[in-house]
Amino acid sequence: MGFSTGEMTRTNRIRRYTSIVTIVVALVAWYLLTTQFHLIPSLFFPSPKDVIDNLVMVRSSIVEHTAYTLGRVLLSYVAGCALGVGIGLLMSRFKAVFGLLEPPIEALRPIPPVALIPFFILWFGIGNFGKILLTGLGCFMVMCITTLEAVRNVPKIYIHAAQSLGATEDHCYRTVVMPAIVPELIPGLRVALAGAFGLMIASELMGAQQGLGFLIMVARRSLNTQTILLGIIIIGLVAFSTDRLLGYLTSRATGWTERVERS
Amino acid sequence: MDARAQCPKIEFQKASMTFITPGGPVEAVREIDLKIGENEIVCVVGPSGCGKSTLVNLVAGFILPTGGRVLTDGRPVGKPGADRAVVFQQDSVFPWLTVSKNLEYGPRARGVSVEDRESTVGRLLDLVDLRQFKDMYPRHLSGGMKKRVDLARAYANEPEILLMDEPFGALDVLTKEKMQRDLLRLWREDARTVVFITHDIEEAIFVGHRIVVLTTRPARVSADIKVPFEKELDTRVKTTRPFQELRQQIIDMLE
Repeated sequence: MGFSTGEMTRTNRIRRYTSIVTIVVALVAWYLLTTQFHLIPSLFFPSPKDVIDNLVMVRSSIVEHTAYTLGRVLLSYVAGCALGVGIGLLMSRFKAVFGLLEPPIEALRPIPPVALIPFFILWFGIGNFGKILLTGLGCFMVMCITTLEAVRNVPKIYIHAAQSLGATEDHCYRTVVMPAIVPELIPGLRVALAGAFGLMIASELMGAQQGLGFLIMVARRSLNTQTILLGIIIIGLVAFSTDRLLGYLTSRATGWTERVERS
Repeated sequence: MDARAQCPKIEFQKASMTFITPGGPVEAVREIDLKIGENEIVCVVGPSGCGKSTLVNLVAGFILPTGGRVLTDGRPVGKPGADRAVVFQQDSVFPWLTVSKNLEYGPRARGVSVEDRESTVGRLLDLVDLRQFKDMYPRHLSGGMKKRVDLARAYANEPEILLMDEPFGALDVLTKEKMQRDLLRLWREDARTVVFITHDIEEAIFVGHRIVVLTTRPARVSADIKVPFEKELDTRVKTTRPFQELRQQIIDMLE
């Protein structure tokens, strides 16, 4: 199932080394441009040293802010995606549910959730609830549409095969449709995760009491670009790690497909 | 005489099928009359695109006739069901299940007990020679092996009718011949009514008791020939004189 660690092919090795080289080049360029050659003033783009000094300075509170952001993202992601898939499945299975829910969903979907932030702050304040609700809404929309499309794309031949093997419509739905859509849900899950981070940071930027977005917002007021960059780097690392974790979990669930795994 | 025994297993009574397509109505089948008896293997041949698959889809219950009737055991065909198993040309083995779980699918869906399921699956794994692959996923199997799973899965459900729509069309010649022999072997173990669609005349003569030749679209029966020799598992029968003469006879009919 996929490539085992002992079987890294030549293309995978090339990919690995190229990524590492690119990262190293970027880091070196960063150092050189800011520290060695002083081509970029540290206000506009802090040097590596500035960022590290800053990290040491805020190290106790940074963990708390990261935890708030990550915790809220995970909660809204899991709830929003689960609800999105669940509703998507119900809508595919029962025409009445589809008829009932499709109009409000289609009306709400084109609105970028970011645009709703001012209203959410007005209605729910700047605490956890409004942020989780907004980010959850974004995840819900992505997964609901993804699920509906995935069910539509299940090859009819599997349904016919199941029917002529004696499966009732319910049995067919559970044993054929649901396993068949899993590989199609994965792109949606990854997009939803990236979107969740985006929405959470955006809502923290506009009004919060903790979180990485809040940290950036406060630092902006005093033009503390070191903290801003530090915040951005941490967001990037957290988002990257969670995406990787998601990739690992989903590849476990799709061992039966012919997907090409990432190295 | 028992009225039921007189009743053909499958019967088309002036059955017609017209599809509504974006390009206009397409008449696939026009007023076909055909009777198929119990445990007969009937091969349906005809020019490509003539509507052969439509016959299978009508018996399977995936579509309803737009004219006439399609009956099984004297009753009109309703929805698809376990009594009519289908083997398609394309791969329909469920990729998310192992070989044994695939074979088990039908009996499981019908609520057969675990012990009975296991013995049925075990017997079929041996009959089609797949026992060593029973816990593998289809992605690791070749096309021929997947077809064997397909066939065994249909047979595992003990259907009254086995419908096969160009099932071996995508396989190479050697694998195809092996599958033809596997089908006959399964049928000898466990006879069922088989409707076998193919464009390969030799395959039709080798596998079938009877050959029904269809016209070009809209399809009607142009000939109904009983194969005059016994079914044999040895493919060398394909080189014998009667076999080749029958083959030529049918080819001439199709031209």
